[in-house]
Amino acid sequence: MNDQHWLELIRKGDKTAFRELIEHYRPLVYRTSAKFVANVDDRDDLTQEVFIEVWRSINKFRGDSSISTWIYRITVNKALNLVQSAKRKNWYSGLLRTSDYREPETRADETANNLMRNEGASLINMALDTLPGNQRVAFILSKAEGLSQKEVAAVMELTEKAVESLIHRARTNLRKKLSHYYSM
Amino acid sequence: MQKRKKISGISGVSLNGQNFDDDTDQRLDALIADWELPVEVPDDPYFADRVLSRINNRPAASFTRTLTISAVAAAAVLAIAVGVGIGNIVDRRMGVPAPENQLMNVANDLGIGMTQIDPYEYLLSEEEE
Repeated sequence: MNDQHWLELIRKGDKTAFRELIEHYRPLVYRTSAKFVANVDDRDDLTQEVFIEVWRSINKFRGDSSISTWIYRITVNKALNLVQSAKRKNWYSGLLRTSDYREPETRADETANNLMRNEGASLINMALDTLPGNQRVAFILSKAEGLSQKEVAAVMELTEKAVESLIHRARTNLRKKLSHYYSM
Repeated sequence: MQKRKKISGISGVSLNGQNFDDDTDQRLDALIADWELPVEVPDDPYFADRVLSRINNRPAASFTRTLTISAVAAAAVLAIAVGVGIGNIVDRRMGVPAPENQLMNVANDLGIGMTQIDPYEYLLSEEEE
């Protein structure tokens, strides 16, 4: 089933079509969410919130972009809101921990390689956590999701040049923030 | 590879200059490569059911709107009450006489009772003087 057909059916309230759309786009939303939130329950909750928003706003979607671009946009907005509210909550509760990224989930049967890989990923996540939202979004969509600059520009509603600049600044900032790691 | 000593801890610039920059870029690329690996999406056959159940159990938009309007109205009333309270406290601290006392002063100045007072007349007579 193509996007246009899905849209028509879902706009008519067809829940079977919506269920199909969920199954089709869940991996995309889950993977993107995972780059913003480490906690598995939060990811699941965020993924659900994205599809609830899709259902709620389907009539406002004009179809200027593809469904995937629109879903990416909802996902990053929801993810940034969640991260912001988590930061506010942590600030209020006076906890030193600013995000869940500091506690990467590990399993007992993980090999040394996996642990090292997780450590590297956690370092990047921690550094990303401190970047401005737009740099973070541009970097994640481009590097983790493999979107082209044109696609990232469509999701973020920016020019390609602006996206290029954001990705470059994100990389420069990551480099600075991880400088202590290089000196080890 | 020969280990280079880093001098500056912040900018990533060292006496070794370009070589250190190359090193840091390579290490950053390695970290990003680890981080880029796709996250495993767990099988969840009931995911769509949960989403649909939440959609069905969500309060109607009109109800949510009513709640929001009520909350905003309550917050506005509270803000006005707090503002009046703070104003009274400031007046008391600064020794500003209450309006009823000001009226009594006018009556005393004119040598008349409170019921006979016409503040406009008093103000006019003050201006004429």
